[in-house]
Amino acid sequence: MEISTTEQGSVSIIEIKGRVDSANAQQFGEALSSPISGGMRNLVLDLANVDYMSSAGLRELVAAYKKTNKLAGDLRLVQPSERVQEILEIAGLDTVFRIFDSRVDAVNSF
Amino acid sequence: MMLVERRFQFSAVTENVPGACDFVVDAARAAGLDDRAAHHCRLAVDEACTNVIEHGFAQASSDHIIEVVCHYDDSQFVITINDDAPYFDPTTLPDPKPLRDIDQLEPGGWGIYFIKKLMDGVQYERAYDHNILTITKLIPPRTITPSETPTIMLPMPIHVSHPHPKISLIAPNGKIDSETTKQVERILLDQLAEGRKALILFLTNVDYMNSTGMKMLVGVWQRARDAKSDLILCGVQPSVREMLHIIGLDLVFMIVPTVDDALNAVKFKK
Repeated sequence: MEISTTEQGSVSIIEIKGRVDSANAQQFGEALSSPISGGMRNLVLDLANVDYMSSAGLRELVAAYKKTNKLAGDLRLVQPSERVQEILEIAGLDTVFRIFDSRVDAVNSF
Repeated sequence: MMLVERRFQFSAVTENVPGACDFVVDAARAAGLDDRAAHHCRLAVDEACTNVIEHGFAQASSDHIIEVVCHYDDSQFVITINDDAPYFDPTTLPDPKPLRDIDQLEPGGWGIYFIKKLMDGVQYERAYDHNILTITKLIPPRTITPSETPTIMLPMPIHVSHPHPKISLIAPNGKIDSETTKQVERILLDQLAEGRKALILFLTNVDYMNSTGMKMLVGVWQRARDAKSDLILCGVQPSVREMLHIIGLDLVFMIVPTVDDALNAVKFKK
C-alpha cells in the first residue's frame, strides 16, 4: 500500500494505492487521522487505485469519518473501484459517504 | 474431475493473512473461478482469518497455527479454515443493523456479514478442539452444449480430513438425496482411489438419507471391501439410523457412535 498526502487550501487529499487489508489497516487509519490531528477537518480520499479493501479498512474509514464530522468537517471519497464500491454497498456505507467521480469535484465540493 | 486439495498453514498473526489470501486466490483461479469470484474468496478468507486472530487468539499468538484448505471439483470451491482457538461460531453473530443516522454508525461487525453476502455457503463446526469454518463458492459451469441438459445440483459442503495418512474422515453436511448422492459418492471413491485404507463417514450433520443414498453406500462399501479398505459410519442421526435399520443395512455396515470409536475400529495396522 502506498500513501501520499497533499493539501489544497483547507482540504487534505489522501491518495492510496494498492490493497487495504487487516495487515495494513492501522497504517491506513493513521494516514487518515494524521491530517485531522494536524488541524484539517476536510478530507478527500482518492480510492481510484485501491483494488481491495476489507472490513478492517472500512473500520478506519468510518472512524475517520466520525472524527471529521465531529469537527463539522467531512471525509469524501473519489472513484472507489467496483470492488470497493461493492463492500461499501453491502455495509450500507455508500449512502453515508459523499462519493465523487474526480478529485477536482471532491475538492471543490467543500 | 477429481477432487483437488491444497493446504496452507501459517502462524496466527495478521502479517501472514495476505499470504494466506494469495494462496486461496491462486487455488480459486486454478479451480476455474473468475477474477471477481476469486476476489470474493480473498475477502472471505481475509475476514475469517482476521476474526480468528483478533478475537479467537486475542491478538499476538504466533505459536498458534491457522490452516487453510482449499478443495474443489467442477462444481464448487470449498475453503476450510481450521484453528485451535476456543470455541467460537462466527455464523451466530447478528448481521449489522441497517444505518439510520450517523450516530448509530458503528465501525465494525462487517467481517462475517461480508462472507455471508459474497460467498454461496458458510458453515461452522467444532471438531477435535478446533473451529472449522467452511466457506463455499459455486463454480459456474464452463460451457453447456445444447444437447446436454444442465442438471442444477446444489452442492453440499463436504469436509474431508486425514487424521492419519491412510484414513479419510468424510463429513457431509445436509441431506444425502438424489441431488447430493453423486457428490458424496465421488468423494468417497476418490478417497479409495487415493489408496486410503479406512473411510470414516461422519454423519452427524446429515439428517436425511434417501434410498439413492443408501444404494450408493452399498456400492461404496463393496468397492471398499474389494480394495481391502474399511467403511465405517459414525455420528449417525436417529432418522438415518432408522432408514438403515429398515433396509437391514445396519447389520451390513460397521456403525459406531463417535469418530474416536471409528478410529479405534480401523482394522489395518497404523
